[in-house]
Amino acid sequence: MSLVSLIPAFPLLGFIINGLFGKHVSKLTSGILGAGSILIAFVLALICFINQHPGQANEVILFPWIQSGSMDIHVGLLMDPLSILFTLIITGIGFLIHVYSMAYMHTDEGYSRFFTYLNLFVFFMLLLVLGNSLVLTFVGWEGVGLCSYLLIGFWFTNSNYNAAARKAFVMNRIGDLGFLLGIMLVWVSFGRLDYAYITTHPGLAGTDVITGIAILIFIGAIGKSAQIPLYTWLPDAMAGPTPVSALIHAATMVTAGIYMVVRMHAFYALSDTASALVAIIGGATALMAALIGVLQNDIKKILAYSTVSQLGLMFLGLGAGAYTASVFHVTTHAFFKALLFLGAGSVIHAMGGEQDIRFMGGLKKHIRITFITMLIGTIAISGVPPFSGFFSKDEILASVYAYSPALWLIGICASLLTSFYMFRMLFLVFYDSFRGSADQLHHLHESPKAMTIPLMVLAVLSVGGGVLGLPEFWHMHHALKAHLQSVLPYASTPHLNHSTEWMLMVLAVSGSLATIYFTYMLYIKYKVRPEHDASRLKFWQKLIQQKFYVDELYDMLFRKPLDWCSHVFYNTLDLKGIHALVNNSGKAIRVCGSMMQYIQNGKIGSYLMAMAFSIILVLFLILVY
Amino acid sequence: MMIPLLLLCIPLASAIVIWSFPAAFTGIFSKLFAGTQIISLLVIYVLHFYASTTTELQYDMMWFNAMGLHVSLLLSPLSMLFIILTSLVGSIIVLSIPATTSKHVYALVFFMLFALQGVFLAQDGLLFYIFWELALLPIYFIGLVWSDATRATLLKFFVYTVLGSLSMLLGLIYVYLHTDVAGAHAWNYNAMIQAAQALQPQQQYFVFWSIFLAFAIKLPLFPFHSWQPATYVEMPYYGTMLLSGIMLKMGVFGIIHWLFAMVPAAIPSVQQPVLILALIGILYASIIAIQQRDYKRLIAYASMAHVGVIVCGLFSAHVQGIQGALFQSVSHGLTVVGLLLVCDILEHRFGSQTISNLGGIRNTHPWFAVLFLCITMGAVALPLTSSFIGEFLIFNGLFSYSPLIMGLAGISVILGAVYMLRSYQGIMLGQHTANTTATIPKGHYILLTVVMALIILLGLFPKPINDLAASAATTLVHTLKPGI
Repeated sequence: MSLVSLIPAFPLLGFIINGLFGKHVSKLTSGILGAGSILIAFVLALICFINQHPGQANEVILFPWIQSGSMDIHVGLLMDPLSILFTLIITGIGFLIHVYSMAYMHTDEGYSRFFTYLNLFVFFMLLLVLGNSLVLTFVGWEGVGLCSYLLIGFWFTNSNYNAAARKAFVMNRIGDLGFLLGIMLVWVSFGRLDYAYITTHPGLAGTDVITGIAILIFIGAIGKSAQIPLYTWLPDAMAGPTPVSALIHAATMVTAGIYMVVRMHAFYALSDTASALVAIIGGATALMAALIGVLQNDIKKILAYSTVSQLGLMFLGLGAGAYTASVFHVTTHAFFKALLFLGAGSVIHAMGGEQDIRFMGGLKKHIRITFITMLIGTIAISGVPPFSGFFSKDEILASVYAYSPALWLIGICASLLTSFYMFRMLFLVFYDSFRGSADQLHHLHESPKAMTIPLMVLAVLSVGGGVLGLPEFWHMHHALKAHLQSVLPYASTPHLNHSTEWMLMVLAVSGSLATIYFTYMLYIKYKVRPEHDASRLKFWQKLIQQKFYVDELYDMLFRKPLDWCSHVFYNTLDLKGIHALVNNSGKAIRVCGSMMQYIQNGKIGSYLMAMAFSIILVLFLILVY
Repeated sequence: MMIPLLLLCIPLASAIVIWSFPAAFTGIFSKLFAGTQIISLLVIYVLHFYASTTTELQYDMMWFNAMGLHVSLLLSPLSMLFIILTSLVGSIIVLSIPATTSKHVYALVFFMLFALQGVFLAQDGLLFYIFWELALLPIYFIGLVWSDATRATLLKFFVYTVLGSLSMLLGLIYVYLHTDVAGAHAWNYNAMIQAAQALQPQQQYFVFWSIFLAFAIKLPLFPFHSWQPATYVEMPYYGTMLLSGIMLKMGVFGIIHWLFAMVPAAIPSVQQPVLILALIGILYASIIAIQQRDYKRLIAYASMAHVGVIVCGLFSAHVQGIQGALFQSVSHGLTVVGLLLVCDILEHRFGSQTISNLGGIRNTHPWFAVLFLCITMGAVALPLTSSFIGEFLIFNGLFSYSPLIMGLAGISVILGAVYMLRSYQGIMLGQHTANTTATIPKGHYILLTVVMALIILLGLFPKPINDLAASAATTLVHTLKPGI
């Protein structure tokens, strides 16, 4: 048994023990069990990381699974630079969020259930990134979907939350079908499904097949990573407890789509069509979600749209061929977005469950640590140097510029909007005077240490995470690039001259700073406040606030027709159609039978009549033919 | 030599013993015999590995010389797979029947297991037909005497099925008349296969469609399904379990063991129409299931959709597709029995199987919710449940035949999530609790746990079933595509 296989084993163990006995032990034990299993996994991952020679891959086959004809799928784990990086993010941030949850969920009845689900999630997520073949990744892929479903609908007595959970599951399944079709196409074209083979021999398939595989896998990524047109589940997923939003819907699960594209990067690198599609969808999502984020008033919804937008930016980078930069952004985004979500959780905690930023304000005096850490997160996401977000975002945008200046423009607009709505949120929540009720004001308090310490750790990472990928044109060492080099053999670095890179960087930073200043003027100086009365909104404001009515559109295009079809198929086609047809043919036989009865009436006269007519008929027929 | 005969005798003897002893013994005997069924299954499963020659797995005895009728049985890997399904699911069904039920019901169920195992073991055309019809009688009587099923529903079910069987008999007799073993006709499996394979293409099509009709009705395949929903709903739930868990698999078995083997040359030209019917059935039933208010009726339509997927696997005529269809037959048996157990609990403990009358059960019965959710996930073929293995293989086979048909059939994956989750949430979640005082008997908890464990175990370690399916599928594909 190698060390690698123990990494997912511990969260699984935590899940089983907590699931079976969690209710019978104290909350503290249950929480320690949950967090502890993730900590052990993190330590094991660190050991693996240290022991592994740079650039090496280590594949462990555990047991045979599905065999059929020439198909022979084994359960195995692949530990290479890409999967170890994701493993470290998942277990590291996962552990911090587990610790945070121990305090955040303290008063909840479903405490041990929460940790059971959370551990199961980490297990499936690890399976997703460590799986050695497409099928095993798919197992993790659907498994995290299940956990996401369970955790969004964690408070299951609320039917709105249940609907949100179901929506997430179903929309993910639409993507999953694409993923599944992609797996089939790989199988038919390569006869193998393990990464070690297919990612090194993409050339064995024709161009069309490569494009097909790339697009189908990307459809899966669209679902899981909430891109247009399957993004609407993610904002609704905020129904789940806030630590869930931080772990699943910001730092880890939603980045699975990016992992998948990077894992299969050979196919994207060889297909311009697929790459262009990825870039366009990513860019469109980045911009649209950022626009929607501008006028949201729910603190978690703002962060949700921000996540959609940032994921779009990562896909934009992937489409432009900047695989390393996108993975870099996954990493830094995991730091600052987890921080922002956990900070939001701390705010909600202090506000006694209130999530509407219109009723907040002036919180910076009351919850100092939360304020400072969230300020750091906000600066990081806005791309202000030397915070981590600056480095990763800049690297993506530089590559996108080299790929297509038009897409770069979209990207830069999205990131300026990001600076805007993030600072809008920060100013409205923490500055000026309190706008909530007196009760809430009285109740305001800083969260316990178990919640603030993870915030501080994440704040440090958000500040310093940039050292993982310092710009090469500054003649600095890009650690991540060196780390990932061996798993990205098909990636090519775009060549921009240094002056262009400097210019882009200066443009982005000054744009961001200008936006922050503008936001400051708007919300601090001129005290603009979000409108309470929806009827007074201008048309475009309403359009944005109502998320471009996409949910309503989908309802009209898919849900209602499907329900209608269901009714019509059942009532009209099935009952009045097929059912009646079969019944009537049964009846027809009975009717025939009773008609025959009249013929056999036992009267010689009618028999003779029938005979005579028959003979005439036969003679007539002979005459004709 | 005695192994196949033993398989037949155990359920038959169980039926006779239960029937002849007073009702006071029924409870003990039924549990005992269900246990015997399982133990003998395990023993035979192990034994069949060590059978040095096939003769040990064969039994042959002259029955009616003038017609060339033999009692000829063979335990092939294919029949082993269906025997496992019958014994396993059959025992679960027996154990789930409430203790107050008449002893005749128990006897009839065991008799039905006897007939079903006969269907899966028969190596003789007429014997197969006899068992096929015998299997119909117990379920008909159960419906007639011990259920609220209306006469019309039962009559429809009976007449429809018999109509199919007669069509099959016609096809079988047609082939029989073409057999020639030392100058005489024979019902023997190999002789019939040889005779059928030698037929002209037109004659083969006739044989195919006349026999296929019986299987299509039994499965049921769209548009021959109209007997199914009402029968499923009105039967007592153990009757529905027998119908959907085991009986419809007779169709799957028949297609593989008889139809594909007899007229392999006809398959390529009938593949497409059958696949299209199956595809229509999948989407049609899935869409209908979305709006069903009655949970049992929903299961009926869901089952129809799942069977459509199995038929797709079979008629992909691809090794993965056929293997997947076989695996899925077992898996579907388990999940559907699990769902029907849930349905029974809902109807008899919570007072309704109408989704809108239920809700909030999770508040008072958390462990029941876990079991129900796991089985629901099995029904939507989530990875690490047995259905995923089956569906994955089926879709692979289907994709090799036609990516378009696979893509369309794959929509059922999405629709399945819609109707299964909608019903689960409607029944189990929410604020309002349907019936707080309801208790679920321990026996049902144990059975549900067993079903859940089997679903997950087979999803993790599919090998025992998969090897049988693989061996059957590989042999079959060699017949279908002699060139490969």
